[in-house]
Amino acid sequence: MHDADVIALRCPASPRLDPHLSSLVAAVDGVSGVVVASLDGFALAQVGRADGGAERLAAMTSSMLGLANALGRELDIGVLDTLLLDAEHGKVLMLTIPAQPTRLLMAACNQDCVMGQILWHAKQCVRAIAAAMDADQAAAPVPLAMNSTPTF
Amino acid sequence: MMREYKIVVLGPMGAGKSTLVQALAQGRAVSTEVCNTDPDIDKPLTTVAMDYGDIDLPGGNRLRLYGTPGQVRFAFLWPILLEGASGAIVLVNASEGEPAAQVSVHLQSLAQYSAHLPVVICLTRLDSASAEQAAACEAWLHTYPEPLPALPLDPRDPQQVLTVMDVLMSQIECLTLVEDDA
Amino acid sequence: MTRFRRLPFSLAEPVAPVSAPTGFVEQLNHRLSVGALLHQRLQYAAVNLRGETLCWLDMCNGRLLVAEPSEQMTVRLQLALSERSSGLSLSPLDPDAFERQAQYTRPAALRPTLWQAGLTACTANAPLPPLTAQSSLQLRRWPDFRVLAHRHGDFRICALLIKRAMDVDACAAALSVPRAEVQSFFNAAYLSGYAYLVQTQAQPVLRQSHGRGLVQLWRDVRARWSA
Repeated sequence: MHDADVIALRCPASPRLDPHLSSLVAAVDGVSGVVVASLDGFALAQVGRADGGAERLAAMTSSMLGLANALGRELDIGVLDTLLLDAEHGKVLMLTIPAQPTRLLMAACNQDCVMGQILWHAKQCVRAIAAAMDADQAAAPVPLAMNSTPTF
Repeated sequence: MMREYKIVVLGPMGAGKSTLVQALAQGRAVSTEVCNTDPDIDKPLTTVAMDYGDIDLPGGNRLRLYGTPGQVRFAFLWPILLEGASGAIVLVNASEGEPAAQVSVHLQSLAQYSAHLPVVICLTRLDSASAEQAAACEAWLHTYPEPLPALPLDPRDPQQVLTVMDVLMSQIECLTLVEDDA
Repeated sequence: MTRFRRLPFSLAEPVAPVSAPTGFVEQLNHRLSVGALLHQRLQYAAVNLRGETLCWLDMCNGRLLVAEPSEQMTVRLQLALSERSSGLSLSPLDPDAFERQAQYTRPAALRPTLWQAGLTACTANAPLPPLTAQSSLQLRRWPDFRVLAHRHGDFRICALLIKRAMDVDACAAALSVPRAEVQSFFNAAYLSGYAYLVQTQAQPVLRQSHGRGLVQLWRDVRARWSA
């Protein structure tokens, strides 16, 4: 899947997000779709599936990672990084995007996909997205101070 | 033989489900709360998977408590969490008004799971509700087709929490008394 | 624990009075059951005992005003209720008069007050006339929880009477609850209009069951928490 459009959803993602998702899909054989979601399960961007399933996948990803985080707290193993699902006809990768605020990335892959490869590229993608989101935040206009006087 | 029983708590976001499960589990429930990004709902946190707590029963038996995520986008979880339930508690936020709209999807999910599952309705935040909102809850209960028990609940009050469980247990007991012929 | 064989759930047909209910308690039960469907002139009523007014009722909005001295009037009402020929009667009341008085005297909640009166009106095991020891009742809906808050055992009776009509003996046996407790519940539920009389052919068939289910286990835990 190489020519997929990025479909902006509920909250338009930063324009810096789109190339990273497309790059991930282009770089790895077997990725059928990628969704970026908020921690509380809203779909923020999607590549691949255009059947309206992104919202549902975002909610499910949020639930999966929410439970995984709870398990991680129970076992005291620190902040969750990656969750891998390996099934009969495909694989699913879910990662935390360590930006402010934290976001989630879900990549759905077919059974031919090489897990190590998708894992490496997905981690690269997530790091790049986090950096882009942090850069966006840093570049955001600072609100004018209440008493500032314009100069002419 | 040791047995595990299950009670599920449903209702809209902000009705007090997580608080109720924490109260019953005596503060030891597992939570999956994250920051809420929905600008339409004024609540800092929201449950994305479930609250889980348990109570040790005599004889090595266990009562498992599951709080569900309230928003409709997590509705796929409700049938999963309802599987094997002995009873359900449905919370209605009295201060939000429109009780039917608040819980119609949750009650539908319950009905799809089982027409006979013992259910208790709890009206939360009644102290914040206006007279009209309280009356709307009363009117909704009167028009509801099944005569379900409905009582006020502040899930922070341990006595009220125990009372809700007592009512649910009376419903569960009744189901075993009036059982199927088949 | 005993079990019944299940019959399809339906609200049992209430006993239709051959003519309009005549006794005070019957009339009260009928009006409280019908509620908002009452003709406006029947929604407000005065309760009289041998010509003296004990209280005023607003049956549509669930309010009650007790005449002074209120404690004495309440006791007289309870005593009168337990007598077969009580001398109690309902008479029409001007709604405006009730509303005017309600601005000066805070009304009490009608059904909870009647419920309390019904619980204590008769001595142990005595049915409130016109109920008899063989009367079968069914609940239309769960009573206001303000009335149930003080006797948690009543939750079990409610759950059962919502599902099935039965008499005091059958209910007490099914739940292993003292007969007196069930009888006082029946009296209160009938007086406050939550329950109605049902014509039943036979009481439900009882079966014994074994083992300790969730309900019994919960009661043990609850007792431990409350200790």
